[in-house]
Amino acid sequence: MQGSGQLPDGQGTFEERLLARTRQLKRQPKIAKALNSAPHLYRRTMILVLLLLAILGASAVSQALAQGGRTLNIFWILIVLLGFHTLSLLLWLVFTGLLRTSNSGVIAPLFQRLLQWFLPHRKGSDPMLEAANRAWLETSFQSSFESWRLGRITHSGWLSYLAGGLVGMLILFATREFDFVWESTLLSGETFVQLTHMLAAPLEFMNAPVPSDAQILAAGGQIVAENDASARRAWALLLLGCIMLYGVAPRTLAWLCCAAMEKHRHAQWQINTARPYYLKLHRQLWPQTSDTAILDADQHPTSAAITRATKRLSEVPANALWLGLELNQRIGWPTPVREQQIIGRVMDQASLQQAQEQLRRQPGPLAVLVDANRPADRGLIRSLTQLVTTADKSRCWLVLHSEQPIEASKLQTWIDAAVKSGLSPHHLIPMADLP
Amino acid sequence: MSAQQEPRAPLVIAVVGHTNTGKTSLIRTLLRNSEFGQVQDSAGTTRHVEAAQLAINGQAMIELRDTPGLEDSIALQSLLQTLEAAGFSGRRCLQQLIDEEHQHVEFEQEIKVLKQAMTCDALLYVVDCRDDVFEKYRHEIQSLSLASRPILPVLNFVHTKDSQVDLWRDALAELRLHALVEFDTVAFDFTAENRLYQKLQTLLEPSYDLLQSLLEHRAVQWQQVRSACETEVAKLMLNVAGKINITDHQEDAEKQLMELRDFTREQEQDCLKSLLNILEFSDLAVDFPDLPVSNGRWTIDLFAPETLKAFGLDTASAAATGAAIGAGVDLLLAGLSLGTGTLAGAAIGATWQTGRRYGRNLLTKLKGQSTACVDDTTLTLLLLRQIWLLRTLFGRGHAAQESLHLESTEKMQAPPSWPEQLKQLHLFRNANRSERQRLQHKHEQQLATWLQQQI
Repeated sequence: MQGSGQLPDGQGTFEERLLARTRQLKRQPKIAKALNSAPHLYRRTMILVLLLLAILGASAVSQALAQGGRTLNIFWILIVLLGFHTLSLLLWLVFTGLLRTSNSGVIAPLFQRLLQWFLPHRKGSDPMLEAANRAWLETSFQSSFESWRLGRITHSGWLSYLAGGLVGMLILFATREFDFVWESTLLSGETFVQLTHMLAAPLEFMNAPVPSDAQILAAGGQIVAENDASARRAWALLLLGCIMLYGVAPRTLAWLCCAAMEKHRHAQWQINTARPYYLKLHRQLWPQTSDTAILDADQHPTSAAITRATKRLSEVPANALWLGLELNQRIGWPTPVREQQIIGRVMDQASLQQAQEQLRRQPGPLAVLVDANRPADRGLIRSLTQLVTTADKSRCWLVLHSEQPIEASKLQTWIDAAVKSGLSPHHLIPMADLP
Repeated sequence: MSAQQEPRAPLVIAVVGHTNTGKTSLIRTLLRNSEFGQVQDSAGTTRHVEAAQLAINGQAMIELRDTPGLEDSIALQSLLQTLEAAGFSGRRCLQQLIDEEHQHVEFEQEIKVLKQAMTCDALLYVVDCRDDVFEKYRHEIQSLSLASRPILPVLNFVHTKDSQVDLWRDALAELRLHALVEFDTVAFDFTAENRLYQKLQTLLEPSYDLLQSLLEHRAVQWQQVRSACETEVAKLMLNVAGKINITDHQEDAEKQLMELRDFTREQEQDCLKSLLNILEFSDLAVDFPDLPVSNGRWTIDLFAPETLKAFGLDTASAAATGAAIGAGVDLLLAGLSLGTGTLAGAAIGATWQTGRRYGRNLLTKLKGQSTACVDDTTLTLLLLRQIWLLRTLFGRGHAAQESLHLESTEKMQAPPSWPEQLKQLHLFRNANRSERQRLQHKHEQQLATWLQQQI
């Protein structure tokens, strides 16, 4: 059978066999090519998009830094670089944390739509490629881990953007000299001192140099002091540290979380083997029943029955004796039959002998009643033969009991039985035909 | 389970009994194969000894052997008695008869059966329990028991009006056969089949594990088969409910209805074919009167509570995501237009989501096109037919020969929770193409689970 896998018969579970079969199918160059096309395209696109984002990040930084000439507004730059990142991260947290139930946002369908457009899917181009693409789309964005996967993709985008910004900033800080200031119409210097310390607390904890109170106030122009080299260095490091700490670090964490969840869900994901397709495959790979084998053949096939039913010529005499042969108790006698006429029911050897004795004592016409719906087996035919020979076969009738009209094939088996036991086929009468 | 690891010979079960009691039918039902052997309502249909195996994961577990019917056990019994008088007893007596088989050509069939009785692990003795307990049946059991193999009587035709189960129980108890199974080969009952294997388990202690794994496997399989069928029906309901037919001219209503009707009937036939395939009734004829299909105008009630409920949250989240995207755009464009991008994004997000949903409806209205879909009455009727079909097929043995004929659906009642499902189908109908792709699987599963509870 095609692709019954590398596993020998009777080994492994169905899933294992299915995987073995898949591996084997994947070795076919055409299938492999079709299957690889979508992931290749996806990978290349992702690299391109990430590069683009990194460049955008770097250019955003250079634009922001270039705006003020030599002087940089520290908090403005922080807001520009981290504000939207923080906003989107918060949004993501809210969506994943609170709204787990509704994962049908805009991004997922938009993304799928984009991918659909992107993948070569011209109708009738290559059905295998089309099927492979659809399969990839369905398995890569399975609803159980779709949201995590999308999360991972957006986080990598942001990471790339932030990394680009960070590198751009490093280059600019390394090659140019900036003065750092803060400006405010409403807020006082005290607030900025507090704010800076709050922002710098984790950096201080890690023993990184942070701007001193004097340097902070100096940057606000409240104390006239030389904006010396050490202050510049402290401010630059603070900026870089903040981007690392509040930008790159949480994004990395979120990315890791998404990746882990995706992996976990992916591992949990199972083929639903109850789907009709797999059921059919299961039967194909593992037939539940073997083919039939004849162990002990019939040596004497019976020839087709030769006797045909003809017009009934005789009728059961009114004074006939009645006897039931293998007749179930629930079956009654025909209505015109009087009790004195009834010999009884032959159920076993003893009752057969009894009946035979009575027939010898009381010779006369005999009607044997049988159930037409029971099989006319050899045992019954043997008993009938004995009865027919005991009575006079020319004065013996076989009456068929049946509530429904007797089918032709069934009637034929009874005609054969009558002939075998020595009766004339004309002496076979369905009970419905009795007067 | 050791039985599964090392390959071993299958358990050989001989199916024996009087002629025309349904031995081949029993095997057909146990194998889920309506093509095994020959079945006819007359004596001596099966004249060969035929065997087929039941396998789990490619490994044969049980070999079922079909034997010719016993016909003349009274004569056989007297023959065996003469052999016993000659000093042969038990298995030796049967062996002697088998050795002398050429002298007893008239017992060719019976000897075939006895040969199987000698070599098998257990016997399933099939009884037509509509019959009285005649002497010949007692003789059959007595002859078979000489083989010293466990005999499990299987009472067939228990669901017919003439069945005499109690009579047979008493008679079999007299013959010291206390373990028996009621198993109608025509009306399939999964628990009855389980009971059959469980009884075999007690009779064949050494093969307990083998039978246990068979039992477990059969249960899993039965569940899978059922749920596959339910999924097929769910798919059918979704396909039919989701069908929307759009034409440019209002006058073409008649043609539209015809198309809709053809589509629905075609779908129903496809589903039927697939159900029969899953349940392995490949050649079963099902007589379904044509489904009357009526046309419903397809419109979305924008303010229907369930529509709002289902989409309200969606639109809100669309707005939020739009805002996030807008904010991202702000930022990527050097981020100095704080706010405008975000607001625009939110607006675009919400409108896009709404437009996506209702755009088609509005568009068809504007173009003066007319849209049609299958109405609720048709869907309900379709459901009733499918529920009837599933119930009938799940309770049908592979030995059953008469074709299926759908009774009138007038007396059938839709389950009380159906309106709830109907709403879900409406939601699916109102979804657009890309949404449907996403919803299809979810709705299919949900509907299939619901169907499972109804059947």
